[in-house]
Amino acid sequence: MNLPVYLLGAGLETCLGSGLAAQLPALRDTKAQAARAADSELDWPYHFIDEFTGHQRLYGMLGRSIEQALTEARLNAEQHKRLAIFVGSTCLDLPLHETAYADAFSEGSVAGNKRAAIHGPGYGNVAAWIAQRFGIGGPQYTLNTACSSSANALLHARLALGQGLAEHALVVGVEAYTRLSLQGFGSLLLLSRQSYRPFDQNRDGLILGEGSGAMLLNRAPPSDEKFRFALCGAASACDPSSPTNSQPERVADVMRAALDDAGLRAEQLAAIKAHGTGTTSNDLSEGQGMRLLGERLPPFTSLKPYTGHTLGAGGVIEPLLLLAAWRAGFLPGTPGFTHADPEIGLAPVAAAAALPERGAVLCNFFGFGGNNTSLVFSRE
Amino acid sequence: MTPLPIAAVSALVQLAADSPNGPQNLREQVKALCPRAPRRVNRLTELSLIGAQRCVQGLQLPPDTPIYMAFTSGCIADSVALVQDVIRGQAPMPVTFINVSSNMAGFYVASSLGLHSGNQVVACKDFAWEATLELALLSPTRGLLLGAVEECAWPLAEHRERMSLPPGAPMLETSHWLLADREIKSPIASLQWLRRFNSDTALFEFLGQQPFARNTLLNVQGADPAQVAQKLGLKPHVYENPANESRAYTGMPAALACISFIEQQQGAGLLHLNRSRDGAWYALYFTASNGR
Repeated sequence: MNLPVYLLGAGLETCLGSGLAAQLPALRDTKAQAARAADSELDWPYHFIDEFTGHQRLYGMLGRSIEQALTEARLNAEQHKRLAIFVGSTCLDLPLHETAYADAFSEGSVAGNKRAAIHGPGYGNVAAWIAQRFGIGGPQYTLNTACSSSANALLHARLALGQGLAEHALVVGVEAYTRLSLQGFGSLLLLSRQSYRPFDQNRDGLILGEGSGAMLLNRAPPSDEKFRFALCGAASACDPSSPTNSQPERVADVMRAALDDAGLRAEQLAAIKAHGTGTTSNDLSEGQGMRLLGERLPPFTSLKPYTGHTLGAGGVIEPLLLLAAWRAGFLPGTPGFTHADPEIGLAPVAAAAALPERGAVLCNFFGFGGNNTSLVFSRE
Repeated sequence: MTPLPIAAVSALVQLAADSPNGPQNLREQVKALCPRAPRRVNRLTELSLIGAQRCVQGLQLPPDTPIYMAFTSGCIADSVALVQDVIRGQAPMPVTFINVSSNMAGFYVASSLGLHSGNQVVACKDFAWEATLELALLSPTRGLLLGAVEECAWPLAEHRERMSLPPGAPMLETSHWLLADREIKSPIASLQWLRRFNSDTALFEFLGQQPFARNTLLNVQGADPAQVAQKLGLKPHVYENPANESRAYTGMPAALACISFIEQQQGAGLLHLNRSRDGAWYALYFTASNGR
């Protein structure tokens, strides 16, 4: 069992608004969100942040969320300089490369391979940008494990803080629109053209979205907070049986491991935030996996319909959505859910439900490559 | 830190060929090494499978051995092809899109070795190898399997331009692997410590207090090796990479230097120093079990 790490500051940019408080009206009003998605250039719905476009999209939302977290954390200059940066993202800086190539293509300058795609590639570029933009001199780590990327960034930040590698950690999850992601998921026939309905019998796929979340974590609990939000358990595992769909037993294993790490049992949880992608097979595996945890399960929800599936950024964004609602005393409902799927045998909360002031919530994040990560957050 | 005993390493280093037909096909090598070689995988995964299998050499690893992979630019060939395709209006092939996730290489390695623990991809602009090792060390498991893999994209001339290299510059494809076993009785080498420093002063102050084994060699990146060697009184680690091309570009020369030392054991220890563009350092100290 590892020690908890505590939230000192948070920042969040999603299609719902800027900052944690701005997410609340939408999270309360479950029904209003069910069909909320703008049409994208490719005719699949997508949750855009309208404020950021073109070359500004990625670093605009990223910078804004980090500023919020740093402002709230109020580190002194020396602590700020030594911050460790953990980035979790699927797209990394691909939006910039894609935009640059699209510009060149539309100008006709790609003929004869004069300008092939992706110049100056680097998986560490986003973290390096953060360090330079905010004057941070600590270590930089980028985790790139598909849809569990920023959940794995949080897992490693906790280990690093616990083992004294850093005093504070800035953990960031970011995902900005790329045509490649949208068209790629479209080619896999995983996108819904209608509305997001996780765990519903008639679910027909996911809707993507963009966003950026930032958490500033500390080994010591904040002294001036009435309630302390902590990451108190984490586990990650690989299900090598399928690159796209984990077995329920493996899903249950990783949830159990995270609970063990937190020193908790499933029946002690206040809620579960499911990965809940809204695809037929993933929701079935996850639902059946949750059933393997025991007969007395807490209420569970999927938050993806609110912001769209933000892929690798979800590991930070979704716990922050949860926190925003938790502070206001509720667990957001699952938009779009109306009919239980008998094969799953479990139903998420359809409307906002009361959440006790103190307790623990298990959060699931599953990605391509059999990459399964569960985190346990507590409010104490 | 507690020293990390190293059970095995492997190095696959090959010169990328300027062939109009593209790269050398790796399929037969994969089939020879993997009993159930996966089909329809990309080059990064093939390089990873070959390297991991050569390192593990048929050993049955504890299933909870996590895989940590260091990348600088991951599946660059497929990423380039997919971006070009979608901007030109062509839909990506489903398998190609799934496989462009960088953690798919680790998935296929896990699948081929029967591992079900974490499968992580770690990157860092100037310190991909060092940062990956650093995070892997946080894992409490008995074993660790660490890979550092780099592919090139063809046409190679275009890829040189992408990487800001001069025309005709030789480039390497690499797959370096390290298997650590915290309970092994006779390791081939050990990682004694790994540290990060924010300044030259902090680094040299720390190094001045460290006892190094006699005949410890020095590898320096991002700074003048001769100047550092003189300051520390250590001999440089001179190695010829297996592709026999010492000037060839690789995105992770740190992995090449460290693994070659462990493989060749030409000294009793290796002090590896890497300085980033903004003046931070990583320092790693390996000792060899049979080093001279």
